[in-house]
Amino acid sequence: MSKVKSFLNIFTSTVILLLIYFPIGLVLLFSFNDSIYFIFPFKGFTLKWYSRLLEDPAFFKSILNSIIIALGATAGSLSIGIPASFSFVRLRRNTLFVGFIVIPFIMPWLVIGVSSLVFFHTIGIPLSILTVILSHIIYSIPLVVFIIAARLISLNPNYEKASMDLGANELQTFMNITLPLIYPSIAVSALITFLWSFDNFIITFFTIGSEVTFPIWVWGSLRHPTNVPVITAASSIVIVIGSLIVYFLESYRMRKGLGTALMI
Amino acid sequence: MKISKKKSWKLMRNLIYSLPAIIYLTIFFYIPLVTMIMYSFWHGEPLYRVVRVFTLENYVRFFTEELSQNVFISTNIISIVTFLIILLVAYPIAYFLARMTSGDTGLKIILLILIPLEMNYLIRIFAWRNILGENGLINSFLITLGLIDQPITFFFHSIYAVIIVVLHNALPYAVVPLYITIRSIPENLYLAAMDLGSNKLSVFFRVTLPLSMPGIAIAFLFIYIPLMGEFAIPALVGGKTYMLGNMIVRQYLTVGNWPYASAATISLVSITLIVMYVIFKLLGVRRLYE
Repeated sequence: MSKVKSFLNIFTSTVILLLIYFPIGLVLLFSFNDSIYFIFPFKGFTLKWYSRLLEDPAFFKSILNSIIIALGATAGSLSIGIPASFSFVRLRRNTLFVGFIVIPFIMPWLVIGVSSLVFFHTIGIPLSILTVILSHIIYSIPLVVFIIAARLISLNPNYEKASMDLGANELQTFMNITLPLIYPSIAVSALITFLWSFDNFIITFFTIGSEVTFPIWVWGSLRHPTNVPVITAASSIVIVIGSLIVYFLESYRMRKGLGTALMI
Repeated sequence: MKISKKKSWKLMRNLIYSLPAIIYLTIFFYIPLVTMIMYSFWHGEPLYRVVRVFTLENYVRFFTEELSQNVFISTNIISIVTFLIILLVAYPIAYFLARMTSGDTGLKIILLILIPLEMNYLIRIFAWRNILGENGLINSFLITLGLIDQPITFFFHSIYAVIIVVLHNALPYAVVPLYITIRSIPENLYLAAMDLGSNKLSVFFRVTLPLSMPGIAIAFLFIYIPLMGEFAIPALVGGKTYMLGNMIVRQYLTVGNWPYASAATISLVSITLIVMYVIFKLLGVRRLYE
């Protein structure tokens, strides 16, 4: 048995290191390399890709747009998704209702993207940052509902009953008992929605029109090989900030035992 | 009569909170889907010309034309084979983390696997492009070693590159559900099987594997369906690999035949719904979120 165990141990570490972290580490490493190719040996240490990045107004515009979109999508999906998660908990055995909420979550993003494109075009809404936000909310409503509903299902119903017994009305019970109990899962779903929306490329690709978000900027830059080191520098910044956020987010979720880590 | 009235009143009361969600999803998701279905039955020509007469020609073309047939079949094969490869890698990892680590080590390693998942998807593709590409790390390494003198593109700008990148992207979607299901198998079942004389191998095939089917089904849902609509990975690392997603994007944005593109998309939607239905039936709706 210990043979199997040590084999699986080595297998797991190899996959994690080589398959998951090696490519990312390489991007970080080569952002400091004085060459436009990913070739060893290193040509020399340089910060010029970072300084060139800082001179690129399109990069800052794209980051700003991505932040605006992510904030809009988060606000929209939370305000629609939080109340819906209460229905979801009560109606979770109703196949029709669950299907209605789950389908946008399961659909390939391509479908959300092109159907939004066709829809906005048909009713004559010009593509802009607003249409991106509207299309992101489609996917993030079920995302928010699942995370918060998972928490609601695990709540002890006696807390609410006790509060009602002691004379609180429904609103007071909600504000003083339920909301504080689900607050961590609201925070988590907000952060996950924000990160997801910030990173989304496929839906954005169809609903953005002529504006630029960070993923769209990367996509555009990939067409020009001389831009490769600049993307490397930009990616490194996003990777480092993103990993820190996700590390704290996920360890927080695990400490609190919030739902499953599955709902990313 | 009284009971059913009471019941429907209760349903309405429960539905009220999700009214905004229902309205939103209807307007921005279900109506657009219906719009696309309408388009798919209209006559279309390149450069965004649409004639609003009812026709089945787009579906006939999608299912009979050789190009689209091939794309459809090859996309299915790629998605299923990739899923199986991911399963082969993810299962041992999930098994190891769920059964052979103590305390919260398993969760910590899951965290390590999850962190890059939130990292931009294009950055991950970009990273692999620099490893597998023509001027990439592997090619330059092989040239330095003197094994080849021209960059080879056969392996690196091809379907194999697509599979590697998808493996990187989708691994957590397989490891996490498998980890959760394997973890939830009660220890007593293993002990009972051993007591009844099974050896370790047959315990695995007759207890662990059948009981981890829900995890496998969810992993399938999370890997197969997005892959059926994938277009960026084949476009960036796939060389000549042309998947259903690429075809749909080309028809919408380059060729501009929206009715045909919509017919292809609606076919994709139908497959998604069928797969989802089968998996829901297999698992029972409740297990999907508990």
